[in-house]
Amino acid sequence: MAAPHRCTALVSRPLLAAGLLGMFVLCLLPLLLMAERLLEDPAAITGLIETRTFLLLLWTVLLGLGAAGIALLVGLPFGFLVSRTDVLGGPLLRAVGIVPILLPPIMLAMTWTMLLPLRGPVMCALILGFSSFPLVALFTARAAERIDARREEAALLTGGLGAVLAMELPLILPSALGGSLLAFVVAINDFALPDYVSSVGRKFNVYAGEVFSTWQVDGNEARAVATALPLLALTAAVVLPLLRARARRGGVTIDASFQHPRPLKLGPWRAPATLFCLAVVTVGALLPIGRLTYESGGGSRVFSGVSIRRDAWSQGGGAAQNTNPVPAPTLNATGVTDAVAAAQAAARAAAGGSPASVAAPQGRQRSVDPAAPEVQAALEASATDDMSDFGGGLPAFGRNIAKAFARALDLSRESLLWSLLFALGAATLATPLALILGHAIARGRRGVTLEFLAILPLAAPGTLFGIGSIVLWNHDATGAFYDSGALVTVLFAGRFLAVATLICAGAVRSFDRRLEESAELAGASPAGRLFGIVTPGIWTSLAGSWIAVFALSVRELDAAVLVPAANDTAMFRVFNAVHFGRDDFVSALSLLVVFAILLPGLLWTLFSRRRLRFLP
Amino acid sequence: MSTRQQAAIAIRGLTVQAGDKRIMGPVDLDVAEGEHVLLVGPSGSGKSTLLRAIAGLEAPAAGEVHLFGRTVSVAGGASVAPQDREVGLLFQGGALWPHMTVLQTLLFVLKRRGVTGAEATARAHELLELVDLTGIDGQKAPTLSGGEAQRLSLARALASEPRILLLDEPLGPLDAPRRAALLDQLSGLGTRLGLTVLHVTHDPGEAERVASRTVSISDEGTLSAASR
Repeated sequence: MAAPHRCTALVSRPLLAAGLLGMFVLCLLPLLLMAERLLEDPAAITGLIETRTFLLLLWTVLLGLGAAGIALLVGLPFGFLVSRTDVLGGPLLRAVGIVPILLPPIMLAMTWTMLLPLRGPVMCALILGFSSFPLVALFTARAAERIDARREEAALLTGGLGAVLAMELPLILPSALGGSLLAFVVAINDFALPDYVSSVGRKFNVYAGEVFSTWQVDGNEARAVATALPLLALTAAVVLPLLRARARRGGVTIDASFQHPRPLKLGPWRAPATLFCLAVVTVGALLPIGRLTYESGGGSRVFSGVSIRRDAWSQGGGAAQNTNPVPAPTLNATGVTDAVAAAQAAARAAAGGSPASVAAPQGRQRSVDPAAPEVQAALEASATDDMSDFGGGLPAFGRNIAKAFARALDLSRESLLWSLLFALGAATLATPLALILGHAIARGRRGVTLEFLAILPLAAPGTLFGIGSIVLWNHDATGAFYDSGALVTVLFAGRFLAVATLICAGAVRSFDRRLEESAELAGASPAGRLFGIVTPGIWTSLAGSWIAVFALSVRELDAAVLVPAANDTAMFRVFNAVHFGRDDFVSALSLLVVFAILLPGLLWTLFSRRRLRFLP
Repeated sequence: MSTRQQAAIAIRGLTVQAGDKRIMGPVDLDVAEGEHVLLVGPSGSGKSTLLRAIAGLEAPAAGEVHLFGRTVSVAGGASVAPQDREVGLLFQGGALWPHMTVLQTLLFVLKRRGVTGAEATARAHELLELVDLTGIDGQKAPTLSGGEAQRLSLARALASEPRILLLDEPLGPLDAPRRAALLDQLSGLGTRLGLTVLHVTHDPGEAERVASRTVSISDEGTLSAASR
């Protein structure tokens, strides 16, 4: 329902100005600068018009469609079952069902590539689909819970459970499709997962990787932006209609007379439905965490010097892999350095004869530091021929786990602390801004436009946003800031402000505007109403925003991989380490990252009686 | 034949609870076949809950429900599924399905009764004529006026060919002239189709003229008197 035109504004202008300024600096400026580089060198677009690019884009779209389809097939029934039926342990399954979207997809891949013989784009689509099914489940659950009990009972009277499902499916399907479109957007913009899956199987490229390698090769920003344009256009084509549909629905479907539906009794279907939900959370969350735990306790290692070649590729540029493959070296520090150097040289050559001595003008080329924890751990592991310590039963398992965690903490304590601090800072910076922007989107006159602007950083490939941040901050005047952790906090806040803003906007939309209007009549200022009336009413959503930004920041990789100051995060260590091999250090560090991601949600679950809200 | 066998609705010691809190009962009630019984009482007394228990949408904490001599609900025991009770329920506010048109709403119900194709369309049009709702087949539920929505809700309830019609404040959202018109229509249809009607209202004055008798439900959720 469209909001009626008001004579006065519900939005505080000074607050809105502050919010817009924050959004501009954090989110839009990096992207605007990138656009400006493209305008300076429009010829860069011509590089796009070639068969290879079209084919790459086509494959990426197919990968995205596959992931979206899997997310829909899994998420729709799962979301409905855990939210609306009497499946055993429904609330618990529902909570655990969020975990796969919080886990970095690379961690799902670490398990799935061990258990399934699949590789390549099919494996990638499977992992991305399972990783993003909670998006579909969340949207499905919200839509299903908004069907008035009496409507459902009217269907029940006419034909039992079958009639209820037939009546409700058309009401739920649009929301579920919306969730799967978001899964599509996540899939086409992901770079780190295809990179990892390529490293353990046959090589394949995706479009988001092309943006990364285009820039890595010679630091040509205009070409990186040009390369990202098709992804941006695809994302906009998906996201804009979703935003419009959301604005049209208005989100205010629950009024005073609304009766919440009761859990549907599944009868003989209860056991199979419970098993289905259990299987989904097992495959998507419990199995990856369980497998990492098993490996931390001395389970079989996967350690191969072949993977060093992939690492060389990711550091030296994808073009090197295509034109002049680097032979797999033996795993030692010299080999690492040689491989990287060779890949970088090949990459430059492949990029069209850029002088080998010319470094990227803005981004610092990463080099392998033999003292880096993951390199040390890999070298240590390679020196042993022990492929499995898992022979001494539970006591040995316990000892191994303790040893692995002690080692991971010893080698990566600082990285973990930095990750937590960056995420803490990003969430704390983004949430108040999101409240102001979300309120303006829901109550302001140009809500849809503002929402589109807010969502841009999320719609752009993470690599492009990372490059934009480098271009914005890597100057003499801001050098200290660029080299510090503050840049990482700003980078993460800018990248995920959109998520927090969407959560807040949804919450404000479903918050009765008459409560604000009555405060207005009582003389409360716009800011007073926002903080005194709206904030207490949607505080569980604000907590949801904070936790979402925190979790996404801890697991962020695509933008972080480019920014030198972000190379100290624990997730980056894991990403680097898995390219060297898999041992108890990698598994224990991965589990610590997972723990950090889930920590705020766990604390909330333990100490709060209110349900955390990501969707209103 | 006992009273229970003769009654269209026979309720014995029916109590409904939400957790530990009793929200209705114990109630004993007999409604003879073809009767139009008015159930009155203050808000929150459990009138709607009684209808829902008869329809099978609430499980009894104690007592039994029998419809046409068949035991359909027993506390702690098996119960007959709502769709198999031959009961139609007119919900408060209509509870129409917002994504369906007038015609689709009826076809949806008829399909569940095994009526499909041209036969279903013809039957749907008959029902629409019966409730005076012709010419708006393609309109979606949210676009209907209050009176039209209630009549479509009535047609939907009749589409499953019930023997008992349960009316939950059916006149609530309407203005005075429309209330009178719909009431006459409900009464006429009940008589014409031989339906047993249990009609909940908090305003007995408006419906007394069409009812066979009136039963009061108290604040505590017990039936205390039959006024006629």
